[in-house]
Parts: sequence; C-alpha cells; structure tokens
Amino acid sequence: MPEISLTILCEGQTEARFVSSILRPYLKERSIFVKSVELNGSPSLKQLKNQVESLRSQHRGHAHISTMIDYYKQRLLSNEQIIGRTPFERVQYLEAEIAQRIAHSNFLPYLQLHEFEALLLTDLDKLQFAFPDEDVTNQLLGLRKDLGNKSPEEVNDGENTAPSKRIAKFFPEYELSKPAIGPNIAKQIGLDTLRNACPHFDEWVTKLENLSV
Amino acid sequence: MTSESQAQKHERIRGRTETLTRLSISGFKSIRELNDFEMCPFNVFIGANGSGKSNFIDFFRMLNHAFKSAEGHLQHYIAESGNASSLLHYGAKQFRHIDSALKFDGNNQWSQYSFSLAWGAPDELFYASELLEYQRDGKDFQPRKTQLGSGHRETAVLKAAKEDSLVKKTASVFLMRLRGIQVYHFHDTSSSAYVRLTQDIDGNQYLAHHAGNLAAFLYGLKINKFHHYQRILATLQLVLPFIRDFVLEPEVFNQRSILLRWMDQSGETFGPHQLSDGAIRLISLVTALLQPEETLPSIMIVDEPELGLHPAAVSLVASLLKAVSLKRQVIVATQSPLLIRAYDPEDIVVVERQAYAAGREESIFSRLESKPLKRWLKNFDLGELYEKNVTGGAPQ
Repeated sequence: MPEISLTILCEGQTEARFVSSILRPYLKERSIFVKSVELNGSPSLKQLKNQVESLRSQHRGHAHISTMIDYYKQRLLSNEQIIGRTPFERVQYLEAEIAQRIAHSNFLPYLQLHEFEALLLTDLDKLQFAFPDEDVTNQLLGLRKDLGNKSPEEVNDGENTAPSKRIAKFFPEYELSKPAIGPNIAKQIGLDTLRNACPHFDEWVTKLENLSV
Repeated sequence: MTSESQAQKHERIRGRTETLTRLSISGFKSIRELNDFEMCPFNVFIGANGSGKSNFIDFFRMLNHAFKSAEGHLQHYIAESGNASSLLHYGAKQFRHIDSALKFDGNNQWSQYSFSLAWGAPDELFYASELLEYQRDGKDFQPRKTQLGSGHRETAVLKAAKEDSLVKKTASVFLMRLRGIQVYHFHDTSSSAYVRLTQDIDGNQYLAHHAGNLAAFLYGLKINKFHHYQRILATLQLVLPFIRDFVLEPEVFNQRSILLRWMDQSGETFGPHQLSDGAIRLISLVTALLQPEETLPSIMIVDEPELGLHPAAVSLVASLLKAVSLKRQVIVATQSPLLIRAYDPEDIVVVERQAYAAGREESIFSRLESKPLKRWLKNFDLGELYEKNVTGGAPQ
C-alpha cells in the first residue's frame, strides 16, 4: 500500500500526545504515517495559515495536513461570523469556512467540540485510572449529575460549563496536570468507544483513515 | 494557566501534610544570610550557574545526611564535600558557624527545629546547639522548648528519639518530620550507578534518593499497587513509547536480586544498560512523582529535573510536579525555560549573586510577583521572560 504522510497541527501538548499515543498507532495500520506538531495555543486564522503554508513548503506539497483545535475559545473566526443552530452545524460551518480561506488541497481542518476534554466524558469510570490514591466514586457521581443527559460533544462552552471546567470542579488535580492525565485517560477509554460516543470526532477519524494519495 | 494564590495552595494542602513555612540559613556556602524566608507549597528556584541554587539544595542534602539511619551521616557529608571549611561562607576565616531554623505548620500547631554548627580546629563541624520547639493551638500557652545540648558530631535528635526519657516523644515526632524532607538526585546514571545494577529485591518500601532501588520499588508496586504501576507505565509511554512494559522478576541466579529489565513493542527484552541516561532519569522522576501517596515524602526536593530530557519530557515532568504539589510540598531548582513556562510568577524564587563587601558576594533570594509582570505576560510566557532576563536570574 502506498504510504501517506499526515501532519496534525495540535493546539497544545495534550492534543499532541493524544494524536501520538492513540491516532498514530491506529492510522499506521492503514499505512498513514502521522506526525503531531504543536501550535502554541489556539491560533488566529492568520497564524494557522502561516503554519499550514510553512508545512506545505517543508514537505513540498506532498503531505496531508489536519488540525486538532478546541472549538471553545477558538480564535479563527469571531462567533458572530459562524452560522448554525446546533453546535454540530456551527463547527461544520466553521471548518468549511477555514478550509475555504486557507485554500489548499489536502488540508482538512478539524475542531474538537467543545474541547479535548469532551473525549474524556465518554466513559467517566476511566477517570479513576488517573487517581489510584483515592476512591473517586463520589466525584464521579457528582460529575455525572452535573452533566445530565448531554452527549460529550454537546457539553458546552461557558466559563464554568466547558468540559474541562466541569471535570476540574470535581477533580482539581486535573486542572493542574491535564497534559499528563488527559491522554492517558483517553487511551484507557479506547478509540472505538470515543468514536461511538462522539459523532463529530468519528467523522474526522473516518476522513483520516480514508485518505488517499 | 491557573493563577491561584499561595494562600489557596496552602489551604488545599493543609490537613494532608505538614509544610515548611519559614526558613533561615546563614553561613552555609554562598548563603550568607537568608532570614525567615517564606516557603510555599510549590517553590521553583531559578538562577544562573553559580548563583547559589544548588547550594540551597545542598543544604537539604546535608539535612538528609544528618538524619540518615540510626547514627547520622553529617560527618560523612562533610567528608564528601571536601572539608568543613568548604561548607562555611567564605571558609572558616570569615564565618565560624552555620545557623539554621526550619519552621513547620501543621494541623493546629507550629513547630521549629533550629541548630547551629560550629567550626573547630583543625577542620571540623560540630553541633553548638540544637533546639526543638512547638506550640499547639489552644493547648500550649507558650512554645514548648527542648534543648539538645552541644558538642556532639551527629544530631542529638536521633539518640533522643530512641532512649527512654521525657523528650523521647518530642524527638521522635521531629525525627519523622525532618526525615520527611527528601532530596531526589537522579544525576548519576553512569554504567556503574546503582540504578543500573542488581538491586536488593526487598528494598522496595521507599524510592531511594538516587533511585538506586528503582527496579525493586517498581517490582513492589507491580505486586502491591498495580494501579499506581499502570499509571506510571502509561505516563512514561507518552514520551518513551518504545517501552511496552518493565520485566520485573527476581534474578534467576539470585532470587534476592532484581534488575531493571524492560520489553520493547516487538516483545524483545533488554537490560538497564540499554536505556539511555535521559530515559533512566525520566523513569526515576516519573516513578518518584507518581508513587502512592503513602510513600510520598512530605517535602520533595528535585534538583534540575530537566537534565538530559527531551522538551516533551520536560513539559510532562512540569505537569507532574505541579500535580504533586496538591498533596505535598515541592521544591525544584531549575535552569529550564520550558519548565518555568508551566508555572505562575508566585511559584518562582529568583536566586542571584550580589556583592555585599569588597570582593565578597552572597546569594540573594526573591520571590516573583504576578502584578509587575502582568503586561509582559500578555505577550510572553514566563520561560521567555526568564530567557530575556525580565525576571532576573541571568548571569551578570
């Protein structure tokens, strides 16, 4: 099978480690070789365009490029410019707009609804893995109640309601060392479960695994 | 980045562990006079080479030696350092004693250990005084004091904690408190370092300060604290993805020994000499920082954790140090902008050399504050500000 090279521009360490430890081995089996490159925080449209073009020039146009950026607090377009009633419609609109404005073939922008931490909400029990010193049953009960019926990608984007803030409310340690804890929990949950519970994420992984030269 | 105040951090750690809140050191190496310095739950010391950061850590290493085993190893430490005069600020001609006081805050009480080491001819250091003080809220109207005599060469606390007397209980509590301060020093990863050699399989209750019993300790975790072991392995795999697992079993030729063997992703087994210095150092660090809470020392001190580590590993360690500070007091000495970048100004103590008399210099310690740096931090991270010398701490 011909080898395909894919670079994913990641917002931070947490996303970069997620890509390396979970997406990379999975896509390698399909002859897609993934590299994660760290952006320095959430990029503006101009900053993203610069980095996509630099990558382009580095690989002389042959590599596929994607992104893993949080939808919450994104700086690519202002909120007024985004059209759509549901979060899914809005993020899809945003991704299409970005793809148009950074017009390159082989560029597939992806934003995580609403943040990376949404992935960790797909199987709350796995949070225990990160805290072996204590029994976190009570915290998990509190968190489950706090989330109600929302699906992970629908958990919203307020100062106190974003996924990471909800987790931090019950697990203060999480706030302090996300990059060490987050990817590990995601790995415990497993790619299949993540895809089943997060449709927008699943859509992205499907596009990636079907990339062709 | 959270900008939690130090008061909030103190509050969070209270009840979980005792913390060192005030520290005085005078006459020790480049530290002429550090007076009642405020220590916080999380402390990151930065400064140029030779500024005195390492001397600060060495002070605690001296304490570790002083309280080591039943007899104490202060004299051993002095011998290792060269001679008694080399520990004194500008040698024995100038300063003839090292004084120190360590104040601790615990649940509803404070306690303080103070001592004075005096120089004696031809080249000796002995205890001129040792004092144990404490005061419990609502129980003691005045601080209770216990003097431990003078003229002894190893700390009198050790003996006082063993022998039946009125001071036995107090001395035991202080002994435990002072032994709870642990300097971790993983710099020796040479081919003959303890960590790479066969280890006594029974030495697995606590992680040694040089990680010499790393294999034994991990073996103990794998058997008794499997979830902790799993967490350590998974965390290591984030930056050392080639390690599938550690192979930890008693050696065939000697069931009392164990070696740090490991397996790569293809299933092949390797020995400790096939791990790079940086990898060994990282495994030691991650194990130290993710060990079960009950074996965590109350005060963890790490000198230059960034040594030999890839930037991704440095960032990982930065987050782990921060996580530990929720449970225990942490003191770190570092040169790394990458490490510094993960923290808040209040976490940082800048160490600089300053002249105080003709030809004489001393180490000065000052904690950073957020407010003056607020505008800078809009455009630069704390690591960059350190590189630019906005924070201070550059060679001058």
